[in-house]
Amino acid sequence: MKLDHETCYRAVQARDRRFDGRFFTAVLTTKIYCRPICPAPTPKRENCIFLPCAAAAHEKGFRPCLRCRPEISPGLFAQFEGAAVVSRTLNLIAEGALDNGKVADLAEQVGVGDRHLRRLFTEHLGASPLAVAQTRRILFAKQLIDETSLSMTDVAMAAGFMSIRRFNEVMQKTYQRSPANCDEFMLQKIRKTHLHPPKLR
Amino acid sequence: MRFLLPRAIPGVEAVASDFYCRTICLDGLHGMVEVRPVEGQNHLLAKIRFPKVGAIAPIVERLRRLFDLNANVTEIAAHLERDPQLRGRVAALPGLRVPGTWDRFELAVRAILGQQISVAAATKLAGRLVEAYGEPLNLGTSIETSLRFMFPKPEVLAIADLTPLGLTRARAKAISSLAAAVAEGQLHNFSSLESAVQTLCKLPGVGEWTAHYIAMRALREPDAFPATDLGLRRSLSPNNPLTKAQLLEMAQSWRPWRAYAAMYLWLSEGLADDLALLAEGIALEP
Repeated sequence: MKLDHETCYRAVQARDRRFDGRFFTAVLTTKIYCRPICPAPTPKRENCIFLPCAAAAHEKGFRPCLRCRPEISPGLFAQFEGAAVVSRTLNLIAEGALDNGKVADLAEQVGVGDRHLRRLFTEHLGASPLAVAQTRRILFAKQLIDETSLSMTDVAMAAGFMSIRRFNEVMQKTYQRSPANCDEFMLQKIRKTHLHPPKLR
Repeated sequence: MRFLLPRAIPGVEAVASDFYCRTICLDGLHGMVEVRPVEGQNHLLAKIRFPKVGAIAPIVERLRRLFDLNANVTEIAAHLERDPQLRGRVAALPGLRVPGTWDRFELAVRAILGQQISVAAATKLAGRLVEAYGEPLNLGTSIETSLRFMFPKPEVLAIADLTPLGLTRARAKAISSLAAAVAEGQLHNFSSLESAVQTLCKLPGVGEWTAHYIAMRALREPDAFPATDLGLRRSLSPNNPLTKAQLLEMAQSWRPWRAYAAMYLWLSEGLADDLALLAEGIALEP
């Protein structure tokens, strides 16, 4: 299904769950992006742009909303109909193909050229394969921080970051607070009383 | 769960109506996972025991795949409901997904073992296979568990003689050639459903049904459809099974989600009394 600006905006106004995971709303004034179901007041129509995936928002410099938590959105890296190569590549990225590997090797695995793969990604997702892999690491790390009792070192490793320094740097840049503070923020926000293992959605 | 339950491999998997547990092996390390639905919530809870924390992301991803959590069930149901023959079945089992597998090779072996015998008999054979050739579980610490084995590696099964386990000669040969092909990395990436089915069919003992079944559950092809399946052909006209061609023609309108249609047809056959349980086990709307 093609999603135009008007359909998306109405879905956001209605906080329609059926659209959750189908697109993300990036708000130009706040530089934050949200799920369609975000409980925050609906932004003005002209301040919204709608993006097909979280990585596109990250690449354009938006940060994930701390209320609707894009990291636990359904269909975060779901299949894209009509683009089998993109779906297959997303699966491989999800398995960590780009944590150590190169985009060129990944392209070979799915049977297309390096440049063609990048073009397909830009066309369908509005983000490069590397940006998708990076976004995945960031969002997974955020989920682990919120929902498990793992130490920050373990979170960094589990999410596929190469070093703690890199992890701190990326999280700081994305959330404008240190990884430990992301946790602190959540603690205050939802007054969580105990820690949970990761949830699969 | 209803689907996974009778198919659980003894020693490797343990399944109950609200619980799935199994041994896992990743990069030569052993571990265990436990997944259960959370009552009143639309998510699954996973407990992972694994010696390397860096492996969590791929493990979670493979679990998502196992429970088909990436599927857009609303859209699939809306599409399949357009066919009056499916409408009732879709309504009876909202949010049905196609169960995947932890390990592709394991599923392919299961599919071959299951050819022309009952699910229970195939499960027994799989249990024997695991006991004879599976690596014993090694978690470092000892914990109480009935799960004692890893599923055998392809390299091991490729050279093993399986006939003493009660397999027919043809079936044993099919499994060792499959294992050899997997060990050589032949069955890794396919550019389309057609090429996957074609490659699989070239293996001895793998027919169209097995190839489509493997594509559906192991390769996560949403359009895979074992059209020669008697259960499917019977499900739409119980007294006079459809021919493969008739079924395929009917299935045209279910594309690109024929695998989901097959699940609806299989599960509404003979499992009708367990619907409530099934809906609980598999219908996990995200």
